[in-house]
Amino acid sequence: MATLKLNNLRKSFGSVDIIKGVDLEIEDGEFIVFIGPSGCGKSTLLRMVSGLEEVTSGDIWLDGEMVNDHTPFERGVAMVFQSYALYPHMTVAQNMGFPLKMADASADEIERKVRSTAEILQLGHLLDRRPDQLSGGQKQRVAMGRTIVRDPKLFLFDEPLSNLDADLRIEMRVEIEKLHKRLASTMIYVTHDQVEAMTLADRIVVLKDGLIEQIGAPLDLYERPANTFVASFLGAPKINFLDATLLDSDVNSSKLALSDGSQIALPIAVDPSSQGQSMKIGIRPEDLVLGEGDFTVPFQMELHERLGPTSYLHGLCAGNPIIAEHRRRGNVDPEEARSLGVDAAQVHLFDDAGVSVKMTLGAA
Amino acid sequence: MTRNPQTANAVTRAVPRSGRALRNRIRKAVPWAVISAFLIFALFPVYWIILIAFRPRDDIFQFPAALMPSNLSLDNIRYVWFGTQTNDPVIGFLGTSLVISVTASVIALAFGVCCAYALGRFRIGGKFLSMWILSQRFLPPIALVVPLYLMFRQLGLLDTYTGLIILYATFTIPIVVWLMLGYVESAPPELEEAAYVDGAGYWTAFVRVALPVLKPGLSVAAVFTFIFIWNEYVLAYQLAGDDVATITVYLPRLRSAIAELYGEIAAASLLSVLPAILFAGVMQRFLVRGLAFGGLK
Repeated sequence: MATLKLNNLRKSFGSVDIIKGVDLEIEDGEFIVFIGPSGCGKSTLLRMVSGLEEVTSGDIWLDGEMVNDHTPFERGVAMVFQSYALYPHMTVAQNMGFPLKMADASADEIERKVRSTAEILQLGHLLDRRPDQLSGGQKQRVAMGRTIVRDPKLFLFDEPLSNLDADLRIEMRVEIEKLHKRLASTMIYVTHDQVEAMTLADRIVVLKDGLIEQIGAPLDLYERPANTFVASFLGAPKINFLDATLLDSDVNSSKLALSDGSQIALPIAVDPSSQGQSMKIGIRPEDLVLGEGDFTVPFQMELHERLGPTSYLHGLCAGNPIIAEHRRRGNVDPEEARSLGVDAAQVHLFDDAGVSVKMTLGAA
Repeated sequence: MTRNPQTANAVTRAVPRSGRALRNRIRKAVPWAVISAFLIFALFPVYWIILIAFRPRDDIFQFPAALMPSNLSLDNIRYVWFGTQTNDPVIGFLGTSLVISVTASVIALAFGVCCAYALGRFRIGGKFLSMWILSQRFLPPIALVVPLYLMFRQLGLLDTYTGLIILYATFTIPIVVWLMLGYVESAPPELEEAAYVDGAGYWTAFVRVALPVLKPGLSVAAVFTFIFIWNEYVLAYQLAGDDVATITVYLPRLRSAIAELYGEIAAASLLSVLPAILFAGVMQRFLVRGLAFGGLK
């Protein structure tokens, strides 16, 4: 159990800046997920917290104590690596007992703690095996066992599920969630998988190019993205963006011109000073429906992709490629799908810099 | 009567199929023939030494030489093992070689693997330092024999175990460093990082986690080092050879001015090869690759 505070944290490798000033506060018992594209610095940030990577500047405060110069062990952190990093020449029991051995625990204590942890993770029957005799899921469990056994202040997970197949990933994701509930420990989890982030996190930290783009609860980020990057990073298929220009806005509605010249009226009020500005209208595929809505956008269907219970309609809207989710089975006639209805409450507007525009639903 | 069309097809296809089968057989046979020819060329001298070692002296000079021996004798082995009036027993020289080879190999491995680990993991000295270490082996050992002789004489190391052990350890450290550097660089650093997080210091992580993973590389380096030292002749002859004489110094002594003791030379050669073969055999079980990756994805 621990609180963590990162204060203007920076990391450079030579002349290359990887982390460019991160400020973050994590509460006791929180499950935080760092998410972002490859190379955004999320793993580097985690390694800085762990003590495996030196800090170029800034402070790391763990439980009110600055730990910049502390070793990983002194910080009291435990880490699950992407590659599991199990010691290949040791048995499962020896792997799990290694941190306790390093802490000079007695043989009896090591055995007792290893056995009880192994029971929790259903590894009791595998204690004498070596890592090369285990499946991917079992290795993952052992790696988690090695972290649990020493009762750390802070758990760190560096893309722990990325090497597992789809079914096992779901199973292990649930295990990690149960583990967090059981231990109520502070956990930081790095992933590029938005499903893992959405399902596990109390709060998600979205990173891009070494900077935090947005911090918030999963649904907050999904429903109120701060910018086009966060909006497009969360959600699959990705959010649709329509290029538009704000023509007019009053307290009830806004009139926008799409890139092909067609105009749409949104029952949304935006700051009238933005008039004449280029904008992006963001609409998620599930918020586009065949038929009527608060307003409609033109649609030219090109492909109907069936996934079973749901399907995706691919096409163009005023020259912008878009995807609409269709929840009914059966064929869709392209001639009938000439427009898509939109729920105005689910529309996002971004200015030409990609930053979310403040807006209110019209009174009408 | 009409012919069955399936049978007709089978007949017409049979010719090209058998032609293809023949070509496949030839294609498979050619590499075997080349390998067999090479093996005969490479192994025939070994076979000949074995043959001479176990032949009575009179049969050695038999002409034309018989490829299969008619008489077998252990006389040559006995002469070499127990010694004769003119020659000392071989066992003393084997012992000297063994002590020097094992001690120098252990020292070279201990220093070499630490050095390779520092170079590979902590990037000490960049590429320059590792290249400089290898450059120590660019010179043939004989080129250094005069300065080494003078240094050894000054330090009282001529004709001593200590002198030869220091010499061979120094000469083989660069080989160990270069062999191990590749293994260190290919071993996953996450294992040591996991050990640091688990509470190990640098030394504990190196000894308890990295070294066991590097065992296959260590075995290769040990075999190379041991065999290099075991077979070295020039330096052993120039800087020692009287009080401390290795097996490689002993062998040419059998070509005395009185007689060419071919049978004894063959027997001694055979005995001198055995420890190296035994050592390589023992180490082979550690040469199993892939141990390092069992704990990873």
